[in-house]
Amino acid sequence: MKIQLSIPEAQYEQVKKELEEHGIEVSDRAEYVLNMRGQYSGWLSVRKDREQTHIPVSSVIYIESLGHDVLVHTAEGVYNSSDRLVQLEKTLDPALFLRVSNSVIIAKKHVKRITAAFTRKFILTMSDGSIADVTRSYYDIFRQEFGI
Amino acid sequence: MLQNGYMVVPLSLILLWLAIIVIYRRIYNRNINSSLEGKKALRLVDPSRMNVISLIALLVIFNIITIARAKKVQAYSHYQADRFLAETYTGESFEELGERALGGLYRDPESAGYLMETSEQNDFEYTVYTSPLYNDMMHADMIVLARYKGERKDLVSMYSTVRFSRPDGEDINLSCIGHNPDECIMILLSCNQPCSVEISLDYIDDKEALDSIRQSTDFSEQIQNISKVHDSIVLKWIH
Repeated sequence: MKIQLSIPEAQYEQVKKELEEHGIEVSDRAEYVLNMRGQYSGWLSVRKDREQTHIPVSSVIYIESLGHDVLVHTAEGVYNSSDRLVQLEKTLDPALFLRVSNSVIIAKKHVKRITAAFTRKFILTMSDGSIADVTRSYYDIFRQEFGI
Repeated sequence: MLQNGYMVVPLSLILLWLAIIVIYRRIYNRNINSSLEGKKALRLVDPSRMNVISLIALLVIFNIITIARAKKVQAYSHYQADRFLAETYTGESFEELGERALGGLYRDPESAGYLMETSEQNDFEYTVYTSPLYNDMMHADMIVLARYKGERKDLVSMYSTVRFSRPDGEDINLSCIGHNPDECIMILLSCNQPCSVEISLDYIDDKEALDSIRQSTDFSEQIQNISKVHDSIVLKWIH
């Protein structure tokens, strides 16, 4: 059995050793991910071309909900997530991610440019060139998070 | 629109408002993007709110300018331009004249509140309507209808001269117009200060004599010298 670990660096080696003593192999390509309770996930379980995989959250530029699909945009490509946006919002570290509309969660470090619109709205240009809108409902939260 | 000058201020303020919106947005965008570069961004008013604030401020400024201008205009409220009206119509009958004058406004002056007085002198019939009610730019103070009832049929032209004079005799306004000698004449008169008006009617039978005086500077005087039929009436205003 293979397991991927999504735990703090301090505990990583110890947990890995104990798992391997019990015959469980620790691998980044494993199907299952072990998270520490109370900690935000460092990995996301996604699908691409019907193939299940895990991607580090640090590679995520933004996550978008389109109808029944939740699309995870990274520099390497676009993946599908089986989790709903609401669930993802809870599992992702709020220090790194921010919900900017009912259908978009952005990675803060991937915001390349902010443009104020004429109404209470921001237009974000992400690092991959994509455009995301901060809607009126999330306007004040966004300003607070970015200190503007 | 701009020639009159009254649209300059509002148009300027609109342009100023647009400029404020554009410039503030640029400053705001630059400020918020500085936070992405790790610099501390200032907490500025967001552009949508600034649009409203600047609009209100400019409207207040516009109102102050308008009040200042209105006060300046009021300083001249005691000034009244001299108002004279001498509008002449000719027609085959008094009825036709009533229909034509000012779109039929004087079709029936009596029913419009004018007092009528008729008189005859020197082969002329006069009907004078005087208004005791109106003192505005729309209605004439007096309407004078005149008709030549004499027997002469050799007349080639008729001239009406209307002369306004102050009580001391100084001339204020003079007009002299030529007409068809066979027609009746209606003159609408208005004046906004004490004065008198003399209406002279001159009928000419010598075309050559008339042509010889056409270019003269005192034409109205010369007309009376060559006219064969002449009459005049004087009417007075007391304000």
